[in-house]
Amino acid sequence: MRSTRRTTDVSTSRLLEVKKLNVHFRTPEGELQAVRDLSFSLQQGETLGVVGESGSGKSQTMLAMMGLLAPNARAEGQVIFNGDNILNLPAAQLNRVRGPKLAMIFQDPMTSLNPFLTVERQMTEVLQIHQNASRGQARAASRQMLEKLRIADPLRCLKSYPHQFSGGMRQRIMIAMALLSQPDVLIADEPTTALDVTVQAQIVALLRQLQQDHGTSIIMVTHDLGLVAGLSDQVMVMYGGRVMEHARADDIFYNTHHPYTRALLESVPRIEQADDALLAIPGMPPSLRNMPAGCPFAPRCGRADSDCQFPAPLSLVTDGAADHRVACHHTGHPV
Amino acid sequence: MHSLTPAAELERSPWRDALQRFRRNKAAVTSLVFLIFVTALCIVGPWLLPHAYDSTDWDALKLAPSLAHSHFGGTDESGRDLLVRCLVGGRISLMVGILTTLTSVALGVVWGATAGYLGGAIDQVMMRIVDIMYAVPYLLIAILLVTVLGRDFYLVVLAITAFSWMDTARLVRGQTLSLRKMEFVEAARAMGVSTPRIVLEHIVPNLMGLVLVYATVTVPGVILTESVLSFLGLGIQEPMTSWGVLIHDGAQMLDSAPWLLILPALMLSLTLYSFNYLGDGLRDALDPKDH
Repeated sequence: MRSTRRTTDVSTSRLLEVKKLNVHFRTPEGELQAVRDLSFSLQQGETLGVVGESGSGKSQTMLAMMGLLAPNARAEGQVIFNGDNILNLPAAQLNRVRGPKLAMIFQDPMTSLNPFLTVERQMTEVLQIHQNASRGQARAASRQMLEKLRIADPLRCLKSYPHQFSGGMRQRIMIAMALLSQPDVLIADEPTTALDVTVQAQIVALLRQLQQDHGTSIIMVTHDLGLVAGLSDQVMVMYGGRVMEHARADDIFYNTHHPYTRALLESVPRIEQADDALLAIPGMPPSLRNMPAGCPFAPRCGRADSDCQFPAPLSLVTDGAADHRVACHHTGHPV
Repeated sequence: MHSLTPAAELERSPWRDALQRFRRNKAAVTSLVFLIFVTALCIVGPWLLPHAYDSTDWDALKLAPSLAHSHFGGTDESGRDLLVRCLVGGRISLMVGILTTLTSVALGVVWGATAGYLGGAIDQVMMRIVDIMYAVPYLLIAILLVTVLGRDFYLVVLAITAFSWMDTARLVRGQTLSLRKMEFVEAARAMGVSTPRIVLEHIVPNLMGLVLVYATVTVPGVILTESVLSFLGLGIQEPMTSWGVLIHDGAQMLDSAPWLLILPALMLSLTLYSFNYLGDGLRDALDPKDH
């Protein structure tokens, strides 16, 4: 019901649509589910922030979308991009999508570049493979992109090897590489986690600038709510492989519904707080091996009661924006 | 802002760093110089010496080495100049060693990297083939090959290659298993790079250090294998010779003409030592963790 209504009021410029994505892992201890019934859509030029603790399934979601899951993993559902379901694409066709259309920046810039190849060889590879660019053309384009990312002396940079750069520089090179073929969607999996705070701010500013210039859609995976607040149009909070809350960024921050989202927001340190007032969510995220049958957050939730033994469906909130969805028995509104 | 390292350090590839460490290793550098010297001597020497490797000097049968006559290294029982024969034999031995190592390492790298990167059933099948190759008695096959196809230099190379690539394949497969989990491989996949290209462009360059070290220790093994084949009469044919053949012939004349064994054996063992020291030096240079 709701989903059909949503289709009519959102314009048709929907670029990427994920429907009921499930990711399972075959392990010696049996089958584990890392992502459960995940759905969202992304329009051109929009930014989606995906927030969650380690093990919430956010990275596996992104890997599934790129067709990069581990061999023992299986993805079900649909990832519709340009009319194709990426999950079913054969390898050759998939390679025409990822890179030129759907690019990804990885978490650790220190290990994401090949230590034995020059920056030039790694950057120009994308253009040479996908656009049949000549060496000269590819080099010129790489140089321009490095300039855009405000790297001093891009020619010298191209001739250098990864170990000659700092983490921030390498991440910028990674971003330059990902943007080189002007992808429609850029997936950034915790792109600033390995960097120090000032460099983080620079990278975020760069991403925002590049989004304005190219109209790229960005999926920003992070556990840093501050980063999400500054960058995202919509925010999806994940926990235990499920979506807990999904709304426009403003709604998530100013009209928080899910107890988990609230707990996350409260645990963000504030500068005016006293030193000893660092709030943490009690307990640990559940492991995939013993996921609670009901709401995965229930064991750590202050509001949990007997209802929470049953999974809460993702439903519209009782008050607030039309596209604000939450998976909680206490704040949700069954459809 | 983050800026580049100073200009002096620029364009320093991992190879350049290794070269610097290699230069500080005296034994390895000496070995390299010696190998270059021996190779050059084998190539140029026979032209400069007054005798041909296959011509008989009837006035000088089984002559002991001396500076008093033109056969500095002595002659064998057929009156052939030993020094020239050692140098010509060195050409063959070094050529077999280097050529066979190149082909066997190339085969091993491609085989091992493919098996390691693809994994799963393909890996299993490819590595079982390696196991089978280990189980086949290589001398038997070499004898069969030579009997059926006749004796030929390239056949020797082929026969030794066929039974020396498996070590490299195993080594490379192991290394590839850990490399394929590296983020830069995943990043390359995320860029839409095809599987063969990932193996050749991203995995293989990372293996080169290991492979280079392994190749230098393979060369002496191959030279020895050629000696064994020649010793059994399966390798190089008279009047052409190799170090293995010379040592074989010399060993039979040990009582009456010991120099026939000593000179080729000295050249062979010094060369083998040098390759081993070179391999050690390369390993240290390419693996900074050991320092």
